[in-house]
Amino acid sequence: MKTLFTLLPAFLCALLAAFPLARVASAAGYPEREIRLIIPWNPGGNNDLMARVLQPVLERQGIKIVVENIPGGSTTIGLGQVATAKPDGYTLAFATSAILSLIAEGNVPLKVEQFTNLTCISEDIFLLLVPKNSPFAKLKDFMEHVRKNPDKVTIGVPGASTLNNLMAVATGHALGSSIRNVPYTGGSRVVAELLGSQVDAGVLKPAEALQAMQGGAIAIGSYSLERFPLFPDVPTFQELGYEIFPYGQPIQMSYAVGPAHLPAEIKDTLIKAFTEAVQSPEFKKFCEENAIIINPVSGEKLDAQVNAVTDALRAVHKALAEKK
Amino acid sequence: MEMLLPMLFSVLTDPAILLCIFIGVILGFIFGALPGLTATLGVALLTPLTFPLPPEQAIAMMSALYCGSMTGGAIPAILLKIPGTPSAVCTTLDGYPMAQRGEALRAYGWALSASVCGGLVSWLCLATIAPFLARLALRIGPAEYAMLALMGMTVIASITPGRVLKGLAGALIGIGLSVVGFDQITGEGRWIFQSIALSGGVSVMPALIGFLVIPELISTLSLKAQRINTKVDLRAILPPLAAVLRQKWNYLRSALIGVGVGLVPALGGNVAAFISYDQAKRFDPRGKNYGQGEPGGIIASEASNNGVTGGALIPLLTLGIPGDSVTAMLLGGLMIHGIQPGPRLFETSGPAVWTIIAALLVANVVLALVGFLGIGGFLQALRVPKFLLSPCLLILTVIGTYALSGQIFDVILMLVLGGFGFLCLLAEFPVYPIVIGIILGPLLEAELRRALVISGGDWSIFVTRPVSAIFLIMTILALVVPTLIARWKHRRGEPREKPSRH
Repeated sequence: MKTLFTLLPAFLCALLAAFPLARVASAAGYPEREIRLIIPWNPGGNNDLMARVLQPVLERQGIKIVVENIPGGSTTIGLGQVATAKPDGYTLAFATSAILSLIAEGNVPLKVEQFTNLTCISEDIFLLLVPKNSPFAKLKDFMEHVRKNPDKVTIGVPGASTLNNLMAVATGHALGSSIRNVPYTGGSRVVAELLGSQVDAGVLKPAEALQAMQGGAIAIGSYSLERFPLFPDVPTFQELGYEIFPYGQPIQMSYAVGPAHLPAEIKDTLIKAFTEAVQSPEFKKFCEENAIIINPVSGEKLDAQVNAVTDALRAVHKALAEKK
Repeated sequence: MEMLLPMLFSVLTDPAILLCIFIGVILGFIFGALPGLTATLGVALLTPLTFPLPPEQAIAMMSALYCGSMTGGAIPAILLKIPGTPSAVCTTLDGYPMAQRGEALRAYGWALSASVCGGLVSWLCLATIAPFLARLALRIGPAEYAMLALMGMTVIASITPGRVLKGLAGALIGIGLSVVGFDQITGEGRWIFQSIALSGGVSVMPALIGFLVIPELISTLSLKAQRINTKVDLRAILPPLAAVLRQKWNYLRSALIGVGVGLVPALGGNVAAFISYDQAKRFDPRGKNYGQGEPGGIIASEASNNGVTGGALIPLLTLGIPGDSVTAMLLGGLMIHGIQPGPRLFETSGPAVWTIIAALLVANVVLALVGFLGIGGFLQALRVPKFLLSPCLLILTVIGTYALSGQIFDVILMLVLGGFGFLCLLAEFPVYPIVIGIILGPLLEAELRRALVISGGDWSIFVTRPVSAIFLIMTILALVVPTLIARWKHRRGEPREKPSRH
């Protein structure tokens, strides 16, 4: 009994002493359990595959992630879950420019401020492709064709709220003309339509473009400021004097996000882990094989980039709405 | 092609890959048979697990699961009137009435034989004329898709004889539900009310479970366990050869419809089953009995949905374009292993591709074997009293619906639609057209509008493109000719056929 009375205060003291320690330990010991990484796309897509390539790399750094596919509503559903999650660092996602486009259009009940931007995972440029038998296998010829036939030339894109769609529309606007943009569900369908000559042209990212080119499609123009190293023979629109980006260049990117108000230490831990992981040899190899650009910006630089893309998209949407 | 035999030999002598195929087929049966769990979910769960495996084993396992699930879906469709997968919706129409007559095993035998036939025919197409078929499929554009969707819609008239008006009303309800979400063409939100959950729209699975599974689960609660001979008698399963031969054209036609639908991206097994059921009903002299337990209906549905499996792999392997949601994940599985599908795949990764093709053949044989020997286990489910079985299945549907997208909203939606579906059942309002509307509505709408964007708003695109025109004429003939024949018979004083119920 006596021992109990002496032990009890001692135990309580120890508990009190341990309590703040334990609290510090839990912030420093992050992550203590598995982190949900929501991919707002179906399994098998580029974003999903990137997450699965990064998973073992992150695990080596002590960050165990569980990839969860929550597709639907052009990424709104999955990202909505992150926006409303507790900012404890255990719910993250890969966001893409698709959601920024929806936000810029005011189409979704989400805001840029609802997310903490962590690290940019990948970037993509866009290419304009025409079918194998197209009479306009040179960018200049194609653009002349568009100029002479306003609202006649069809350009396939992988969705209405994609940057591809904006690029297609901008192609017409650059000439003071217009095109018929045909939104499909996903890039692979656009590849199929290109190979079958169902559309006059298509706007695709490099990985999909390579696939279409294997089937005979021809890349004629690059929606970028400089030529893309993988396609050294494909001229940029700028080179030939077409002003495609009057509102600034909207970049297609995938980046890791968490909910807003993520504690600073947790944010730093995650940024460090993701930045290292995207520069790992495994991830580099995967990106090389699939023509994906790695540009690991993070923190304030990424915030600025996200805001710039959103502003550019807002300006484009406004300009388009006025022209309608 | 000359690589096939050695690869087949190496598959047959490699215990690891054989094991993968067996596991895949068995998992497929389970995922297919359990309502709420689908091939898409099964492959999604399996994909990360197969990453450490060599690509041939991983893809063999995933495609075996795909084949298995197409057949597994028929089991609850026949035994419980609950389609295990969206592709098995049409199997319930004749499978369940047969089971009620006490011919459950025979119905299953028809389904299994049709599945294996569909799988083998589609495999043959894949192994022999894949590049040719892939080129052919590329001729299908939005106009043709729209007409195919329209053709699928005519099945509504087939499955609601005498109640076509109610059928059309149901289809409109389904199409109305499918409108919710983002417009595929303009990207604008429709009926979203600034809610995140509604921006995903009404997905097929919650609606399918809500309308077809929940009402059945509720209404069977009061039934006692059926007395079914759970001793598996091979002769009871296997249909007589003469009867099989009578249906040979149905087998072949349905399998080929499956291959064709699988070939073109954006269409899945459910569309194949709708079209081939409709066609079988029109070609079969006993067609007017469809819906009352005709083997022809089961064959049409099951041969076509397994026909899709090989068909969907053709554009994947030859062009790198996935034919449906499952093959989209197979594409991911290939890419993560450094295999880039596309026109050069056969040159760059020949042995791997032929191993996969050989494995698919083995998977179809294993399918027959597992389906034959495993039925005893599934029949045990019938010995469980319904008041125990139904709640278990209900829990499964909730888990499955949640697992597919991780959205509690989908579960609520499923239960609400389930309540509505039960009311429909009480009111004798056909629910199948609603489901068909939800599945085919978005396809018809989006492809029709895409075609019109391409043509600049000119509706003549549907008749000036030859393939589209053929589909359109077939659709019109299918709708008009039976009515004309019936009128003609009626005038000659023959009695009208009695309407049947579903």
